[in-house]
Amino acid sequence: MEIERYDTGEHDPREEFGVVHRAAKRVDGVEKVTGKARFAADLYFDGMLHARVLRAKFPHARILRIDASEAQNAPGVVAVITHEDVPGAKTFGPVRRDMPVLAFDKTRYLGDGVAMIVATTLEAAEQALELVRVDYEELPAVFSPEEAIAEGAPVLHEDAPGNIVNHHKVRKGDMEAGFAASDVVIEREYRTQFIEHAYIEPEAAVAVPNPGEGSVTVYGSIQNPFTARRVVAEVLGVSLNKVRIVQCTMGGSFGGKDDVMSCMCARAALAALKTGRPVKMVNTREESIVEGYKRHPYMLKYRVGATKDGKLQAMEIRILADGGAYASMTPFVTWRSVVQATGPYEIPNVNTDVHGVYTNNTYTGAMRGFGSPQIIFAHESLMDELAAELGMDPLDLRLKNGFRPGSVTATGQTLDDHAVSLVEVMQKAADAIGYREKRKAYNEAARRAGSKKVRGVGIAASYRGVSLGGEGVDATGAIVSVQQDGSVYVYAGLAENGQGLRTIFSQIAAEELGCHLEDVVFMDTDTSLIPDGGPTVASRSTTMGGNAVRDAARKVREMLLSVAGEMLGTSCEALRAAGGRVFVAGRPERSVSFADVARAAYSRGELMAAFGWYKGPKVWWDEESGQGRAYFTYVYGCQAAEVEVDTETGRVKVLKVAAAHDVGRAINPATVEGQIYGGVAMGMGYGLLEEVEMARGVTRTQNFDEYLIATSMDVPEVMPIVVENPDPYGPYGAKTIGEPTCELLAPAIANAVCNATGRRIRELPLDLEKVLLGRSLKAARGRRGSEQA
Amino acid sequence: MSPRKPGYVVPETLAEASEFLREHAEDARIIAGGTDVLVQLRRRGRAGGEHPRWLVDISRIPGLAGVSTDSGTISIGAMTTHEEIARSPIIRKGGPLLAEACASVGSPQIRARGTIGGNIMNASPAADTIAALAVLSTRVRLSDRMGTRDILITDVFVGPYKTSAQPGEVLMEVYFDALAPTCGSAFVKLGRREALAIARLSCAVVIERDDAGRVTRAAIAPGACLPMPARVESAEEMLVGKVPDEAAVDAAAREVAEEMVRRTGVRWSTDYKRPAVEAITRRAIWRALGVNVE
Amino acid sequence: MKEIGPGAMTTISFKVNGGLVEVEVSADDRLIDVLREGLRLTGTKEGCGVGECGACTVLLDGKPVNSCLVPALQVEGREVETVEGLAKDGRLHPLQEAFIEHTAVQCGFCTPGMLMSAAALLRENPDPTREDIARAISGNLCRCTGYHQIMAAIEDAARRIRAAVPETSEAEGAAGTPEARRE
Ligand SMILES: Cc1cc2nc3c(=O)[nH]c(=O)nc-3n(C[C@H](O)[C@H](O)[C@H](O)COP(=O)(O)OP(=O)(O)OC[C@H]3O[C@@H](n4cnc5c(N)ncnc54)[C@H](O)[C@@H]3O)c2cc1C
Ligand code: FES
Ligand code: FES
Repeated sequence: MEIERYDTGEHDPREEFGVVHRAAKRVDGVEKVTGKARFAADLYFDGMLHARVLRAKFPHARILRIDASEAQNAPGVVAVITHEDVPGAKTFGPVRRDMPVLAFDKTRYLGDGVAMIVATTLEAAEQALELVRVDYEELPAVFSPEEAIAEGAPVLHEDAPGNIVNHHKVRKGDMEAGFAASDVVIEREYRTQFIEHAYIEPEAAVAVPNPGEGSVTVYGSIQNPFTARRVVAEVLGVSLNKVRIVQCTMGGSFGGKDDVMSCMCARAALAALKTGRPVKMVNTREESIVEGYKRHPYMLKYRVGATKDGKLQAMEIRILADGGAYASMTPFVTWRSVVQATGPYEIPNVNTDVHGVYTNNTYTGAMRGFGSPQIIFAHESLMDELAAELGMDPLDLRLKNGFRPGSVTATGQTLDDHAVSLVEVMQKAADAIGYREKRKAYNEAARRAGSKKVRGVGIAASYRGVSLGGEGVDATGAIVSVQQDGSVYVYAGLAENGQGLRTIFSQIAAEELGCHLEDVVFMDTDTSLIPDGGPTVASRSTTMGGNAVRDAARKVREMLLSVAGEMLGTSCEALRAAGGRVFVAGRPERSVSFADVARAAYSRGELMAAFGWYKGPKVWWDEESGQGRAYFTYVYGCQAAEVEVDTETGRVKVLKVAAAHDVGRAINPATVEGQIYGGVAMGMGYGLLEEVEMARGVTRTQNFDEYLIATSMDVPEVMPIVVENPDPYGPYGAKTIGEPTCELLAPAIANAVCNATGRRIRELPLDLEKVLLGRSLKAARGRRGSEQA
Repeated sequence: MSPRKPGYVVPETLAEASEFLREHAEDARIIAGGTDVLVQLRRRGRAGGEHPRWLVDISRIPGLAGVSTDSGTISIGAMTTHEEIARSPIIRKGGPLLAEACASVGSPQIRARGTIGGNIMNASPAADTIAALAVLSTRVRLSDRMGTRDILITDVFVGPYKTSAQPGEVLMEVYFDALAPTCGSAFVKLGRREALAIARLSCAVVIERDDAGRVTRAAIAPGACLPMPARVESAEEMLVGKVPDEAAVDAAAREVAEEMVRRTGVRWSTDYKRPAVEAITRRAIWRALGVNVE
Repeated sequence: MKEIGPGAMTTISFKVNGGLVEVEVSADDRLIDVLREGLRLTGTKEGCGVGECGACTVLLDGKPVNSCLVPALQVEGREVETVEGLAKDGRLHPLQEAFIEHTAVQCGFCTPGMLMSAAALLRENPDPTREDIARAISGNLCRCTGYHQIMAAIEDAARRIRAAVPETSEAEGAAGTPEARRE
């Protein structure tokens, strides 16, 4: 089937680009391969102190008394800090201000910090932790959303009765009529697990007091420097301009270095101001896993009705999300879930409720995917289950109901101003894996008795709203500054998280200016230099930040072209800039070098820098009806998996994955492929290996011996299929790629395992025990040195 | 770092080590490659537990590392690393299943440091070399100030992470008879992933047959599922004297699973382990017989 | 017999990236502490402290090891190579070049350890298969890349090194003989 390509007018009509849309080496590659890149833990300052945090002893307890006098006098200890030392706000939080920087009234999970020791050495700090006496009154606690919402359950936060963080809904059509019109109605329950971002670099920050009252600079592995700045300033009780946050090279984030880093920055800043010396904090891996927020476990109930021929009529969805001890991003994460919960299918009647719930587990928040991996596992498992019920092929069922140009979503949004490429990505992924032939062949093979290793194929598809959507302020800025020798600085309000934004933003600047990529230097985000650009989340970086860089670069280009026009004696309309030269269109021999133009502009006293700003297109949302234009544009993706299941041990091997993603336009194809490979590995982990086990609030999986992520020997062969349908809103038509790549593989694997074995597993991950027995067996997974801990 | 700093000694001879260990038997800990010891010290430090007062580093004692063979007996020094064993032509010929077991340990970095002595003396139920050593009827030589004593590998263990070695005894070497070329052997390991995987289960098998194909000797040891490493004689007996067919192999494998349940009792994991041990054992037996059934 | 009393410090010397160094250590210092804190060779990273992530990988007498699991005192008199020693005379090592060109680096935190494991592999096996490569880096976790571009980079670097080095001199850095008892 041919997909209509939109001519959007807005995006650049050139199909030929100089710097974007081609592989570019990472601009930060050399530092990283030589070991010179500075990560936060690599920073040392004269007189630097070390701080460690005393964690809560009980998941839910009242703090009666903290006695630090003995610790205070221990050798090497410079200061002990508790909530009493907090001059400003004692709590923070992106949506609800419910999280203490140091616990004061209660502890609500075991990662809470109760006191901090600041000492001349790490060892001294560590040893003095044991000397802090804390008297607690243990309180009854809740460890699952079901427990938390039960009548009479203990309440975590006074202002949240019933432990409800938030409730989102979608109401569309008439459910009764929808189910009445259905020939087949099925109801299913799915569950997902806690998972860990597992960035290889644990959290780290160094705070350095500045001369002058209450002013501090914090260097750190910080995903959102502006959020961190706000939290630090509020906790210190100072104005924003007293706090400077410098983002160091980040050793991965995946959404995970936000709240937890804001908290670490605030603690380090408190310690630095109290002692007047630089203070370094580095989490151990165990602390990182215990303290850091996780991806939400969801409990999902789906009821779906369809006609005999497979037309979806109605879908009712009830979701409980375990928010853990603090709200963090739960309201936003669950909002994305409620918008996308039906999957990319046209359904006339939809009724969805999503509740975020407080429990005494580790809190949950933003993680790559942001509320989508859970619902996609459910709706894509459900589509296969419904297909089985209808006697239809699962791909055909999806093709029959999948979004097309002009389709209306569950929230009432008509998809008519971008390329709706769902069918294209589904067919490309299915073809690449050989879905139709294999699906049939494997079904038959599985029926043949006696085979111990059986194969299967499965697919999963999704749509995903780009950027923040109907609930957030969506704007960001950038500065492009040309130097007199033609070299260029780019500053952006959105931060490099390791995913390659520096390179992409540098490419965009070079493309617009016509200079060489090598001449562009991307500066680390520094909150004192650039206005607040909002968070690097929600698949917004390329679209939002890219547009801002482009805006700034265009402004500078205009000035440069007018100077070049004078130099070449022609009007600037006739000029083009590319490849380090400015030339007359069609007559490349009439040209000047970019550097010469810069020199000339400088000597004329031109303003050689510009500020760019981009504000996202209008979106809206009505909380009551759960209807609205939720996001300004969407991406479509489909992954197909081929697996081999060992029916005697439950071991699942993923042999091959085809990953088709519409990215709008690939600014840097090598980066896009890298995102696909990385996302696929993470998606596989979610499907098969990864789980943070919590036993009554205690994190059992505390290090990488028990929290298992894929190794080089586990990753399957991957066929990345990059589909490009330029988007009207993105720079050069680019949209996003980071998040969608990790949200699809778990259900594709579950569907493939079902194809291979006939066994449907509705709970992640598909570990050995579940695949063999069809149910979960829980206990410690076997850790190294386990007898000793 | 850990709160209490231990002392550290680096003996240059076994005699020095023995002497020091005799004096500090109760509060000294031997360290070889350190891949278990350092992890345990870190965990104890974090849990506020007791630290040994002394670490006794045996890595510089000459003569403790390497593989050698003498009139059919293969000996491996306690300080020999997994990597060295996995590559050793002597082992690959005379005890290939041990090479397989060592090659399955952790990662290249762990194999470059972790030693066979440490793997044995750490006495983890999931240690990969132990099942292989058990079916090779390996003997280990322990030494202290008074002299040496040799015991069967399976007599080393008295419980998970507990050995029968006296405080201060050093494992010097392990030795076993090289397998005859007519012997089949196999080591099969099931982990949750392909590398850096603690054995969920494993099984080591050695089978010797006569010219008629009849089993003259069988040794079967499952790993990571018994409270103490051991062979399962009742299953071995089911193969001896037979030309193994499907029924015999199935029966022996089932017996290993049943024996596991008898020894461990029914636990949370039994529903999984019973069928999985049976399958892993069956595969190991077939592979030892030269048939790949996977 | 060298003896360092509980809580005491001692001086050890060893070679790092070709140069001899002397450092003060105590019994519970690990090689990674000496490198990062003592010598400020911060290219070597700590991701887990328990031997699972490989971010701390360095070469000890040519073999890849987890520097978080090596007691500093065991390094006395031996030879350590870190990522800082890979580039020679201001020229990147072929592995470093290939990592950049193949987009094998995302956040870069696993990269130093990954490079050291790869360097150990290529010295010993100049013509590795994909499987050899996967196995050689199986002790190095990477959360960003999914490994494919890293493996492609190592394959490519091997090709470049083979093209640059005449057949005969490849023996340099070959495996020691495992059979020989260490003296
Ligand atoms: C990341 C990681 C992965 C691992 N993967 C595996 C795996 O897949 N399979 C597996 O089996 N193991 C695995 N291990 C465990 C460990 O590496 C092995 O058990 C290794 O063989 C231990 O050897 P070592 O020399 O490092 O022992 P050490 O840590 O030095 O010592 C271990 C114990 O043995 C004692 N000891 C050591 N040598 C002697 C001796 N000669 N005489 C008396 N006592 C002695 C020590 O006192 C200590 O109690 C892994 C460990 C890590 C950290
Ligand atoms: S820090 Fe050494 S292996 Fe992770
Ligand atoms: S590049 Fe980030 S962990 Fe490997």
